Amino acid sequence: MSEEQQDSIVDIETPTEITTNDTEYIGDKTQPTEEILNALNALNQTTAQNGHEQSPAQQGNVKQDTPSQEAPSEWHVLREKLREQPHDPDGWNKLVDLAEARGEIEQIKQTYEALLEVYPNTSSAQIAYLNHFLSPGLFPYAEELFRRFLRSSPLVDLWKFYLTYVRRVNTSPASREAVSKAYEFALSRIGQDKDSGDIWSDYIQFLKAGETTTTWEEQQKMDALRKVYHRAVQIPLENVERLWSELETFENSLNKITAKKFMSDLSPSYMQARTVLRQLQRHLGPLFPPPPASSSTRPHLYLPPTPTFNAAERALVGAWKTYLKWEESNPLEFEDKDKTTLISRIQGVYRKAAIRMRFYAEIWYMAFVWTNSMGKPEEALNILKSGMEANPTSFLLHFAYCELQESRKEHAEVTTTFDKFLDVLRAELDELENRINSANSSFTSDAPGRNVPTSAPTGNGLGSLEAGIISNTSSFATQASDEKPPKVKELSDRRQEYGVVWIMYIRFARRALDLKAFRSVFAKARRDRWTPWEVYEAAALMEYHCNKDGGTGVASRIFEKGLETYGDEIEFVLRYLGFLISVNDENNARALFERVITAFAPERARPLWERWARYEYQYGDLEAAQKLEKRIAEVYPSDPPIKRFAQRHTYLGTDAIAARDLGFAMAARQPAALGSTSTSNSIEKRTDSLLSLTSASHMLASQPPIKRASSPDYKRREGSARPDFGPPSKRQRPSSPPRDRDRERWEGPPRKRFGSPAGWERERDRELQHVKKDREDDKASTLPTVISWFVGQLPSPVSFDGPVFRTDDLMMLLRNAVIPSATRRATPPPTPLPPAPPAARTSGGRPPPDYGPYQGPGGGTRGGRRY
Amino acid sequence: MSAYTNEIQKKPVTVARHIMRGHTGWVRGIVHPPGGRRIITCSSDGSLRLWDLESGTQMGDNWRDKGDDGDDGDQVFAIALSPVGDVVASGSYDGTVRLWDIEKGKVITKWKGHTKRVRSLCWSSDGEQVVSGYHHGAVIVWDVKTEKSVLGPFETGHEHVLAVICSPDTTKIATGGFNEHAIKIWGTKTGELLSTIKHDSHVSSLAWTSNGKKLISGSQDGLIRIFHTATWQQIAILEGHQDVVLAISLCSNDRLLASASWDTTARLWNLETNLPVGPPPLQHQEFVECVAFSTDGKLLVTGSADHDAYLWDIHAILNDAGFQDLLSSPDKVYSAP
Repeated sequence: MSEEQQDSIVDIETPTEITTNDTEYIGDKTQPTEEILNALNALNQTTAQNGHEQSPAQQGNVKQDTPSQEAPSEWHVLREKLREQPHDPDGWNKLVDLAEARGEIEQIKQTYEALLEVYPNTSSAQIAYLNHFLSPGLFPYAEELFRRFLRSSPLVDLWKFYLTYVRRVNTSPASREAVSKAYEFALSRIGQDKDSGDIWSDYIQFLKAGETTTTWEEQQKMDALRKVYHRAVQIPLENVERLWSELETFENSLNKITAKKFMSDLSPSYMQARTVLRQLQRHLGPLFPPPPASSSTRPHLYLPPTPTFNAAERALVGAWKTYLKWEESNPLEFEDKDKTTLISRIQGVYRKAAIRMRFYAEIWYMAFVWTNSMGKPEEALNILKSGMEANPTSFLLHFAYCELQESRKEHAEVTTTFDKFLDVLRAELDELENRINSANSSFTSDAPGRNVPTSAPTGNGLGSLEAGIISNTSSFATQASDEKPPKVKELSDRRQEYGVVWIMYIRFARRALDLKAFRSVFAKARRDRWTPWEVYEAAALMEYHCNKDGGTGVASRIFEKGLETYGDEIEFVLRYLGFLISVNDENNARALFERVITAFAPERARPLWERWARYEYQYGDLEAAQKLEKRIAEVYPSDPPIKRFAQRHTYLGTDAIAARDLGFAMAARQPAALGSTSTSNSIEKRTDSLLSLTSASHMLASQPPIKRASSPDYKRREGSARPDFGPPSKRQRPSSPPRDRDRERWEGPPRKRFGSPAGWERERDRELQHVKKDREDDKASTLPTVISWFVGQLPSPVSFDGPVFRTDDLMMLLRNAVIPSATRRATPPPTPLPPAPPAARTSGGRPPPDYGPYQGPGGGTRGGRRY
Repeated sequence: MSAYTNEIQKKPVTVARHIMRGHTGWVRGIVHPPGGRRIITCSSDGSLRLWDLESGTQMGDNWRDKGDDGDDGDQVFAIALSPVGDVVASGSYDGTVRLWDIEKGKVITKWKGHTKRVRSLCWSSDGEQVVSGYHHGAVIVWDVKTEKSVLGPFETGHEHVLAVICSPDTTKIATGGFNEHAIKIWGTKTGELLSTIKHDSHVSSLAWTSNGKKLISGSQDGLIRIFHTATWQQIAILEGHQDVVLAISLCSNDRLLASASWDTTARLWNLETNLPVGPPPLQHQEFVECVAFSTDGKLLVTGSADHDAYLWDIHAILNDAGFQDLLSSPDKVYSAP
């Protein structure tokens, strides 16, 4: 039985889903249920016969739909509130308290059913629920609940509760067989759990208590006992040591010689189990902190909170991941012949994780990846489904699910999933917009309500799209700026992420379906008022790259169409311009530039000027170049002329004028300049002009020059290291005011992160640790050794091809940071920095850490290493 | 015995002088390089670490060596110090024996066994050979100069070779482990089984007195047994531990024995009387995995499953217990230590 049963142990599924027509499920559903039924029926014939037809959930729903006559009670008010905002652990606890205080059984049913719908498999709630039905008249209902709950429960306490019930209703000697089966069934499900030791022990006691009349029966009993003992003492159970000594006594009482043999054979596994138990306790300690004291007789129901990703929660999810990886590594060293036991053990662990960490998509994803790697694709798919149900806004789970379904050619399912996912995200955006609107009506006009494009781009000649080209999945808010409240920034970010879903949808349609499908998806996107410009660009580039037959023209038309909607978004305009340049369409590029350059105020238009100037300087004639320079001088009169001149004479970021004629290369080689004010004074004076010369886009013109000997990015300006062909990359877009933009850049997804999944994991964990550490170190001043090491590992500055940071923002960061005084070469200089301008403070503060690269002292040293 | 009980009443629980924290896995082995100021530990976290005994802090970085598969290094189950004390051998999960230069903390050479998981290691007293015992029951004798196996791998019949020790005259090797509750004695040259010394449970630790006359074993039942090597007759049983004795360490004068057990204690034994030295035992929070005396016997370090190593001032403990003379050499019993 065990092997079949192992296979039938499926998934982390909500009970509702168990009724889906999935083959794995049928296995899971029928067999165990039969087992339970056997156990229950054998003991309690009468109750089982008149079992309820109607499921408790249905009953609950019927009740709920009945309008209440009386004025809404506190319970009703709260229930309604929880319908709106279901993720509220305290609210649910309160609702249970209210229902139980009132003592009305239907209301109690409704309460628990509703709770378990939001938090499936919560054993504490299931037990509390069941406790209301443990008087003999109500047994049928209780059994129904047991059947429903046990099917997918990995939790020992529920199984223990079930077995207590089975023992209670099965007291006659004739029913021993059924009890024994119930134990076996429970142990096959949760017998690997370290907390199942009591069940093992109870089972052994139960077997010992069996009466025998013949020697043969006695022999059978001893064999059965031995088998159970032998299984138990190889599992890292909390009481494994006691079971071992019991077993020793037991064997010695039978036969001292065989005892020695048995104990000797079991020793290695037993010692391994004890070793693993210690490690297990260490892992699990922080994952299951003791519950808070309960005010009522019923224990507090632990319901997983919605993540806020604070330090404690990040540590918790990190600890879970470490633990899950450890379980996957097979610490008990099961051999291949016991692979099913290993798999069921890890399955149980993942099921528990998904209950406890229900709202962490990452955990579901790990469960999915592992299950899939075990060659159980159906089950893996179900994990994703359950995960999406718990986390309807998870990008990770939806993307993973869509990709899996795409690879299975379930295209209709992918389409449905994308549509549904977009619906959910759209509702989220609408809601966020409403909140902002009601909070501050002055921002409404600006934020999202851009006109829906009324006319679609020309439909003819649309080609296919390309998958991998879209690089701009990061969320740079093009419109957000310092003046806007954080909510608007949030809305802008959410919108950009929303765009990513459309782009993935388009990508799927292009590669899995056909042109028509791709275009109809894009047409849908165009009708969506939340669609950001990135979707247009992605679609245009897909046409360009994938449709060799006229795709360029279609792409231009898509850009042109986008311009109607996003004409005020400099990033989009820059992209369009870059595209035209890259396809060598000089006339249209020039026309576009002239058409849009007047539309932007000078402080926003600078990147456009720079982009166009780069083109003109490189490919135009001298007269045109000088003319353009003059125009620029008129728009930006405060730029030093020498800087403009130098700008015309750079290539791929090499600014020989700055480096040699203005002494940057020399200044950079003088380390003393930083530490001591006396020596740096002269250089500072010199660099005032240097800095203002190098790149005005590095600072706002109004800002005072930075007194700093050298800037790490003086050489590599915005985008200047890139060739003039090909659309500019995301990081070239300097549209929003620089400070804000750079702040985003700090927050942006780190580069080179997606090497391998494992590496990514590790790096991510490390980042989190760093961030945590960083937070802790905000006040302290020791540079962690790992950071020192890391700094030492950094490649030489010459090889740096990552994002270019603005000097003044970097300075701001350093100013606001507490810099350790350790005198490592790589450490940024501690003192002689001018006080921060007050304006800068407002935008200052550390960016939130989650996905960003490490931003602490080590981040600053990137520049510091140059000195 | 009454003398001891008097001592207990006077004395509070013995506390460690330093707790050396840093390992992130169980501390599996400890050696004392000459000089008495430093120790090296190994751990299932995959690292070796050097510690300053004066301050109880780690010196320098962790010693790690990449595994063949590019891992950060596997669990290190055992370490052994060369008789001269300049080289330490380590044995790890990937089956590799590594020799480390103690001053540099770098691997000098590594020898790949035929099988995974080195469980036990010892160094012959002449420094010419290293013996490694493996998880699956094999033993290999390595020649340090040629870096080749001179004997084995040969199967011991143990399931895990938990303990391996060379006789001081280098002619014999003793092994212990799961399967067969016994010490097995092997000829170093031929690998032939010379004797099997029966036990009631599996043998998990071994020590040979420097005069070669006594072989001492710790076993799963918590007992420590002493055998006469001429006859292989048991001459004493040291009772006290409640759980498997994972490691034993002899003071260089052969008069004092320390033992480490999963009963979370380490204990000291007077080998003149074969009685415990002044209870209470050295109490830990978790399993005690390994134990090692300093060369002069005045310090003892234990390693635990709680990831920490503990330094105990044996000199002071013995003074308090009235056993200070146990640290002196047998021929100088009356001179103060």
